[in-house]
Amino acid sequence: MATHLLHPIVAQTWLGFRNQLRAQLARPAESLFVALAWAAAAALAIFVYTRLPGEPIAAAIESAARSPWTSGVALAAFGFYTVRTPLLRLRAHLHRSWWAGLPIASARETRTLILLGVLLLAAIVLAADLVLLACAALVRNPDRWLAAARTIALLGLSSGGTLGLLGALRRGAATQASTRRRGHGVPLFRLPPLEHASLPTLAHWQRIETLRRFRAGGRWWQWLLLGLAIPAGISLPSLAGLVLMGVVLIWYGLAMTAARETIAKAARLTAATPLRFAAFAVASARYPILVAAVATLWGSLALLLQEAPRLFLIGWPLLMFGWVMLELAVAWHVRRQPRHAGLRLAVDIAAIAGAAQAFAPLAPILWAALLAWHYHRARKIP
Amino acid sequence: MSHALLIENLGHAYGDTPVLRGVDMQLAPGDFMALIGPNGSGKTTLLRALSGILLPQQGKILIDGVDMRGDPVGAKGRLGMAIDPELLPGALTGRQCLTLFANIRGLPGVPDDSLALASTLAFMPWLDRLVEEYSLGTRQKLGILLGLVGSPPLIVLDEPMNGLDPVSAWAIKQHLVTLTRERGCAVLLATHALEVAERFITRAQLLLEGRCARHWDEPQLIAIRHDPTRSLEQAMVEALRELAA
Repeated sequence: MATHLLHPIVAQTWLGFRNQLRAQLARPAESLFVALAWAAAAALAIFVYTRLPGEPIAAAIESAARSPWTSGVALAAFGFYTVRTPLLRLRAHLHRSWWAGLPIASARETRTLILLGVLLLAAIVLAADLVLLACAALVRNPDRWLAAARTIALLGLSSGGTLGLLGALRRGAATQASTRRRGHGVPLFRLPPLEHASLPTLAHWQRIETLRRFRAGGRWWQWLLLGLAIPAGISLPSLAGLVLMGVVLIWYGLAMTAARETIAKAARLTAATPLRFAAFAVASARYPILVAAVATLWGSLALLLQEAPRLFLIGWPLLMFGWVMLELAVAWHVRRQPRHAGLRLAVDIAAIAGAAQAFAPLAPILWAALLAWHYHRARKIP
Repeated sequence: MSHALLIENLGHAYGDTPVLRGVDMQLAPGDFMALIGPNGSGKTTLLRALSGILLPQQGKILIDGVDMRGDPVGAKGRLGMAIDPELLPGALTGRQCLTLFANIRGLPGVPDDSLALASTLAFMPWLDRLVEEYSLGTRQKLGILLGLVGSPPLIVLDEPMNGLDPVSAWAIKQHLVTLTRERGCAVLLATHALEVAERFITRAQLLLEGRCARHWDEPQLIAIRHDPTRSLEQAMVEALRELAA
């Protein structure tokens, strides 16, 4: 389709991407690092894939395929939100940003939304199909469920995605523009331990950002995965434990991301102020550490409800503590250039997981070394 | 006497492109200097360097006698820089932002001065509302208020009048003049709005291609003001033409 038929944001995005690619190629050392990081992440993904328990996964998919209506509706909801949410965000952006003042025909916006929606829909259908084929490759005889599962995924996602696209096109720009409401980020109760910090506003800021994301639905696709992960015929305590663990993990992940992004925003905001790094670190660590402590407690309860082995009960607090410390160290280190923070964290985790696989005692040593290195580098930033 | 700002031989390049080429600059307490220059002359890089956001490759910056390279926290403690409205956190209220900056400066709370200026700027109704609800002008007011918390010896503002209504712009200028005359604060104002700056400044510095190309002191500025046929804008354009010739 010719670019003049589409909204100019398409051309702008393409130009931006091209410029970014050129700039990246002009920095070969950084590009090599990013490429190696992606390769490490891909290697980790393949490593995890080859060790996935194929039979239980196949059994879960087969069980879902036996209830085509339930699975189909769940997948339709997934498709609906996956297509609708980014389209609404884009539409809000076009109606609020500097694009709003330009004489651009609404037909170009509509065509752009349709194109993006169709591409998104195709992407999720393709991704779902690839996931199913990858799961099928893990087991010997997938024929009894594969065809049905692929059909349900195709029909569910397509119908939901199409409705999402139509919904996004129908909904008025004025009503869909904001998902934030007044009071949306107001905490239900005070947390005095946070308020006693040297800079209480930082912890408060992290908390508000977390609350906003959680109350806005958080990573809703994780909720869907949680729903699909509940097996049939599960006992009530196990079900409670599974749901509790799912909620804890979703909340913890959101809180860590919000805390990391807030650290970067706060660092930029206070870059020209006499804020000592030590004070910044202490103030910005309080909320994530509190979250990790709460997640440890609720997660332990969830494991007890599921009658998890003792090893899990010991490992869970260590995992939470190790994760939060690494998350914080990376966030402080890259606070001025947070673009690759998530990737850096993924690479560190991959390295630690690899070390644990090769020789378990090496993992905590590597973790401590990475922590020390990130902290040292973070302190050097003026 | 210690300078509020002393810059010696400051140099910086982005890749192979030099942006600052041996800049020297001094501000005494009570000075109100306009930093002027065409786009791309190095003003923003200079401000980023002197506020400690960017580490220059060459030269020295002393804020109120404290070396920015040797003791960045100490130097930043003597510096107040207005915050870019885009950096303000939408999830916090204006009061929370002011409290954060007051805490960083070791003050027990938001100073009365800041609240008085907020009142003059008609900012009080916005003080306890979320920043994301602010208009550009209201964000600009908060950015300036944050830079002025604690009235540090050196105040740096980059195009502070953008988006401000005339009454607020006037109040800010009067407040800055009061700070320089009564408290001995030095103000460095980077601006293109020369007609706005001309009435209030005591010195002006033209930056061109990363160098200090021309300087006007107070007697010269007074002479320009008293001559109805001249203006600082005209003087700058003439200087640019001379330098280009």
